[in-house]
Amino acid sequence: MVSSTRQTLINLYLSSACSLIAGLSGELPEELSLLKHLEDISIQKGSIKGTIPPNVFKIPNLKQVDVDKNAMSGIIEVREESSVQRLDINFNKFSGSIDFLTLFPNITEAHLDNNMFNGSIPESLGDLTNLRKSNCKIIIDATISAYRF
Amino acid sequence: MDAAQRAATLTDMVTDAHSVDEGSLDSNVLRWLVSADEYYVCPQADNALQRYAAAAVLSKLVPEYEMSSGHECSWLEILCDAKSQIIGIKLSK
Repeated sequence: MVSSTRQTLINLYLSSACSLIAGLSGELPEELSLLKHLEDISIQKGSIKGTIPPNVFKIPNLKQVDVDKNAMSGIIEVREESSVQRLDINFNKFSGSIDFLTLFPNITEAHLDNNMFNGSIPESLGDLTNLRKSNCKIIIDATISAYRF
Repeated sequence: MDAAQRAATLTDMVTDAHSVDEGSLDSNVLRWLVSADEYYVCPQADNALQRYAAAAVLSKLVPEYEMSSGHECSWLEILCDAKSQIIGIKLSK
């Protein structure tokens, strides 16, 4: 049997968690890139819009970016090689090419499915020798054909 | 350092950081950090900028978010290493 004090604490925790879910919105702020020691950004299952600020990918030891199941859109801009090892952007509305993947030389997992990517598969994707788990459906050259890798 | 000097130094620090990273300064969070935050971070402290950044990120993604006066590493959504440096942000259902 749960004591009344413990039950109160459980209720407080659940109440807090619910208010967090209800308010998860807006765009990923540039201030993320001021956190120079960040390794893991996991902001999932919300209503986040906009794209990922390019400076985020410059964080020196960033290993994971997981924005799975949001409402993010636009192209993903990576300006220089990034340390990201795991990228999960499933179930968003990102568009453009997936060329940015070639700037993640250490990437092991890329989850890109259920977005609006198009274009060709970059040849240099084969250079990503650590990539062992990936999913992506890409509309090639705006035709209805799709390619899975 | 008096309150005015502290406010000016914190403001300069945040402004400088934003000018490097192309972002726009969050004046509401800066105001909180300078005058309302009971943690009363020292501008020279290692965590001054990370405290501002973490507060800005959380307040922009969770509009009803209420910043705590505890160290930012104690905030529920924040993960820190042994040096009290923020290494993770986790927000989810």
